Amino acid sequence: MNAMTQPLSSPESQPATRTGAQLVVDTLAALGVECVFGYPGGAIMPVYDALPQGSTRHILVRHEQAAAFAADAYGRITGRAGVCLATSGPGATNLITGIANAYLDSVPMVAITGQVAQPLMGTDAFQETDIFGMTMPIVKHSIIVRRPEDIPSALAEAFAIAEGGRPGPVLVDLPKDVQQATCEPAPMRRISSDLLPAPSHEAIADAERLIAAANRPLFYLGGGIARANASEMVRRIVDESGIPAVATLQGLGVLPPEHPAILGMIGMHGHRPANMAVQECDLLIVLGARFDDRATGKLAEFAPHASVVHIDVDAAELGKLRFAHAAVCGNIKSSLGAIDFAAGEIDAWTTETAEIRARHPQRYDAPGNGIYAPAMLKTLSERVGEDFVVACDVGQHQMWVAQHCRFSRPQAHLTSGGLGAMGFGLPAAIGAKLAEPDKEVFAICGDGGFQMNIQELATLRRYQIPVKILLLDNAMLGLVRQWQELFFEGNYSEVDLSDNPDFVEVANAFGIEAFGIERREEVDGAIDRLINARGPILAHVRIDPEENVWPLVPPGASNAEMMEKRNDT
Amino acid sequence: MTLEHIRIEFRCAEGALRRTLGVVEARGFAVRSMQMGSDGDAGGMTLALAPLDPTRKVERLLRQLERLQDVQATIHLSNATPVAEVIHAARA
Repeated sequence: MNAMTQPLSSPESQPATRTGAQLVVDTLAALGVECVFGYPGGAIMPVYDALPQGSTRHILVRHEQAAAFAADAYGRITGRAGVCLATSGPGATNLITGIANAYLDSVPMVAITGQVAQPLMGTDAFQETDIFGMTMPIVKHSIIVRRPEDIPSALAEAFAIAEGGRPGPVLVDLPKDVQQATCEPAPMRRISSDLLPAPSHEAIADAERLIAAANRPLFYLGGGIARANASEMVRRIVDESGIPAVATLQGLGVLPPEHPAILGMIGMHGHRPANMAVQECDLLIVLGARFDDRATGKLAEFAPHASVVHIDVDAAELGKLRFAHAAVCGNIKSSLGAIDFAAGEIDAWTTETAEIRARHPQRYDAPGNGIYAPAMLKTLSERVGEDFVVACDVGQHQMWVAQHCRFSRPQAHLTSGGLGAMGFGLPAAIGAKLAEPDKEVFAICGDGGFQMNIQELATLRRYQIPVKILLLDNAMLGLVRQWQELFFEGNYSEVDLSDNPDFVEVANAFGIEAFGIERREEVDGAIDRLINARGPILAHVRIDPEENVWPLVPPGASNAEMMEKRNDT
Repeated sequence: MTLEHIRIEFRCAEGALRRTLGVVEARGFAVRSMQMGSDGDAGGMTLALAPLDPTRKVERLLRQLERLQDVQATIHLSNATPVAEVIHAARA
């Protein structure tokens, strides 16, 4: 870390002493934090007491988990750490799922928690939990601040760590007595992230040798590209090299689906051309991806003929699950800039992959009059166009969004990939809309996930945040039901949600405009109404409870073993 | 089973020890013996580790440890000492 000192504000504007809580607020402003998501409580009350005197906007959510998810989305879109704020004990533990989500998807986040006063720490005091210890496995770093004068530098360090290198969440635990104590404000040590490692010449040479020798190379685009803000560079290299590409769930949008080189998403619910190409390629050029098991299927049979060039900012990912013949550790942009992507003779390969893609188009000709969610999602994303941003929950609808929506940049697709946390959609959409007010932000939710953070309708209402909610309701925990159908002999255990509430009435009770549809001919009108709404709105869409997500690679199987819809022709 | 011996040098910040040992266990190694010392801000520990299964590679563990903000250096010392000898030494 490189440090330089900086006063928090001009000397004449500051009193001689500040409380720790005031220093928190001063430091957030000095760091340029525009918005925090939080929920007050006993051990964080001094900070809440100081908040109105600061310039940082506070968004009061209705559950701390939503604060963490909203901060996560804010961080994904802006590339700057999203901030969530909670009290000790249950407030802090309610953040944990959101912190884990940010950790597994490498999202910059700073979580600030109140803690009981230091003399009470370790005594099982009221609302005392060891959140510092509890979160150790799911944070990039964590700090307990023991003296008020350390607050500015501790927060500056937290932001630098969260945003630097491979991003991730950092927890800052603030004992209440530290928030209340006064001190002479010392200049904040503004800390810049370490310079990212430069790729080694040897690794670059290895990569170029492999690429030059390859006849069937394939780019494997991961979430690290978005974190490095390298999408444009990747597009240019793909265009210039002519090398085909596949994407992970987090890499969708680096190339829009109409780009001739993209073969789609790989993995369990990936596109058939993408999974087929991986099995046939002779070189995988992996950009910011980590060989997640949902992407690779049976690892031993993944890309069986391929050498690997692996480019990642995190050295620990290189060779973690799959040997890298060229392991390039460094920032993706500087690594890409250093590599010559001139491949061998690949014309036959690009022709073959184009033919595979042409042979396996997406199909939207579902029988019947019911609403076919994939078709609705495709239409919605195409109608909204470049401004389309989606935050989704987890389950069937999440996979349909990934398979069928058009994303023109990876930051437009906010999905809980590594953790797979239901309840992400609505609060993430709130964070996204506040990060990018000029975009059309949709929360696309299932009926299961929506009810996990349904209380955030109140947040939408309070701040009149114009998030558009598309609630795909199959009255089921659909993906679990699908697995029970296919892999548990149809033993449907605890997946029935047919006693769901009337979601339109629920939304109305929260003061949110809402309407419902259940027939195919109503889809276009519903999309119009969603797009044209000026405030928050919910569309409740009833879909077939027995609809499944296809294709599907069975758990533990190779990606070559894709199951298709049984009545597919 | 043979043990892997590693040395970790770290900054003595609050939580550094817990965090480091947590990574060792979470990444599939059991700590069989440990020596640790500190001098002001600098700390060091030498660990004898038993991998939980043959797929757990100490080189990968070292890279995971090096991600921690408090860890300054890691060294793979050897992998020769049988578990029984360490247990015997510990009992002695």
